[in-house]
Amino acid sequence: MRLPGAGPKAGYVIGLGLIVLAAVIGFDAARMQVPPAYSAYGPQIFPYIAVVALTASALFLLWQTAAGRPDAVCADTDKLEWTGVVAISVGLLAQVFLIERLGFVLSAALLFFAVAWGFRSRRPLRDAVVALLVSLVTYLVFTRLLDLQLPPGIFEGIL
Amino acid sequence: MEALDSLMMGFATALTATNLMWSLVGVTLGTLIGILPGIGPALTIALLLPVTAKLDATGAFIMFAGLYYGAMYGGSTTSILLNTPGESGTIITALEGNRMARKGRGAAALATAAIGSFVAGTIGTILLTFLAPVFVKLALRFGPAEYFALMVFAFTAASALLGTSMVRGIVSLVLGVAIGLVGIDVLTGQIRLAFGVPALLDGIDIVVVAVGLFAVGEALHIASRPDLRDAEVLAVKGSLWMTREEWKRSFKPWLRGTAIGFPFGVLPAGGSEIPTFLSYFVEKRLSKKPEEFGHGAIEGVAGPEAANNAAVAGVLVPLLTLGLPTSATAAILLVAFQQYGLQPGPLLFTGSSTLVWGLIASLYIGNTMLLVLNLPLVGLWVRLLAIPTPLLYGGILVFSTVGVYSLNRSVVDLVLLYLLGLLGFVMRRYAFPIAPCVIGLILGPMAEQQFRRALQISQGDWSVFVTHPLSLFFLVLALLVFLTPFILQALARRMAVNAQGSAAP
Repeated sequence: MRLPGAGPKAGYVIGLGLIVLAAVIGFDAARMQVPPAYSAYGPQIFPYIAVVALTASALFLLWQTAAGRPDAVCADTDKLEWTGVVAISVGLLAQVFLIERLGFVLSAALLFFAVAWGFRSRRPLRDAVVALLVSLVTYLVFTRLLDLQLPPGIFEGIL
Repeated sequence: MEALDSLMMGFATALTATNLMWSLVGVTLGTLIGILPGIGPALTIALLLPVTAKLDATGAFIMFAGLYYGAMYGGSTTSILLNTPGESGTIITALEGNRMARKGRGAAALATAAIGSFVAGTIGTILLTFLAPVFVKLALRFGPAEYFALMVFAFTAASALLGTSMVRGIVSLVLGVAIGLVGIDVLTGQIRLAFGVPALLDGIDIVVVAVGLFAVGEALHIASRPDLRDAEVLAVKGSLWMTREEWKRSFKPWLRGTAIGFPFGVLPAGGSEIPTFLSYFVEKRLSKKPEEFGHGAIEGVAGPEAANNAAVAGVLVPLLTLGLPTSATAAILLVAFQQYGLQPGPLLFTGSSTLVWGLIASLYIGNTMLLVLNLPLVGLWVRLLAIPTPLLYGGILVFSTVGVYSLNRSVVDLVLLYLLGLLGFVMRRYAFPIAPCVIGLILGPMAEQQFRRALQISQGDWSVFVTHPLSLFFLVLALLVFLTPFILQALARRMAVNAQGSAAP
């Protein structure tokens, strides 16, 4: 099943990542102080179950990966275009930092544009126009018709 | 027949002008998102939750149910004409349907899919009508121990059946349960996994998780895979009126597809993918012309399309009567009920019977609307496929951030959205199924609550789960589901060894 290039490295990273996550959940549960009255059904039982299940699955995945078995973790292709992932990430992070500063309309238009660029659109002018229109219409529909609040930002008092 | 009386009362609710309008809005929106790749019913309902909070509950649920049914209809159109499944339940449709379209019989494929969906959806809804009261009677005898055991069964079924391998299902499920742990524990006031972030004290909103995993994860995945992006849209060719032979070849697959799909939806085995695969293989087996499979056999569209719609009707049985979601969309619907302060389960049928039966009646109406919307108007819908992918995903992500931000007007939610999107991306890339994660997130806290109630009643005695017969029954079932793959593997290995042994001289 394993394709060339889609090698087992990811399997080890994911397996170890799951073990780290299990450890975090375990430590978080271990530091809780629970009154003895609740000990039979306290807040630690489910986290501990999660720790056991995650660790067991992670060890199983690591073993399968190391042995090249059918459950080995690998992608079905080694094709990966990082530009798309980075562009969408930039768009979403821009939304995080700018939505309350520039306002929804501009930050959402930026996100739209970044996503379109990440999907390899080669028509920046069209994308920019559509991006502004979509975010403006969305803003107006949500704030005027649906009564939800979105930050107006620099258009405070204008829109 | 009390079911019939209740149904008549339901029609009285569903046939009011407002509710008919909500049904129409739901099925139209459902067809739309079904056709568009990259956006499905679970994601759409999650995004609509903040908007619908102010609506009347009955209208909102009639819309959601129409949307869920509609997505299955629309998904088949994309599978047939684009060879990219619009929904996960229509993956198999692309196999034969797209071949039919390439051979100029696209219209017949669309017709058998739409009529098959109608037949299966209607039969499924009839079964739902009569099964629901039976399930309600059964559910009234459930105590916390039984509910907890049933959820354990649902957990194992979801992780065993909703993906390519059980271990991936379990990882996805436990990730969901872990996300569900975040926040203040109601019973003891302990803070779990919040890491000192005040915004996490109330837990992570299900909408953020669903939208992050489905929308952002999917967008990142598709953007990283140039080979997935460029698909060719085929024109609708041929007559929408199926020939006599096509009717004859479709009819039995519709009924068989329904018979396979519905039980899968009802059992906490969840989802609409497996029954479509099963139906496909059954049809291939039974076909008089198996050589046509892989080259556009109409049975391969008719069966699976019936199966996925019947499964959707089936999913509503445990959701409404037990409060047990068996698919990602059902999990989001459960959250929608909770948003209105309603708890699906036997009491819903007594406390909110108008809503429940109005909802069930609206399914008959929605199904009929969908047949009309999808058959004669298919040419209009197809134009949606002409939307350039970059703009489509741009729009999906803008709507996603609107939906998530307007939950609490909090930027922290947007950060979580991005992080969960990255998680969804990794899961998609390395073939971890997403649905168990969403189910685990919803069912985890519910299971913990029932677990604690059971132990409070038994004063801390863990044996309640095995001394109650029904509870023991579900736990044994869960164990069987968990062990079956291992037993099958061992059997296969033994048979291979035996075959080798007898082949040797």
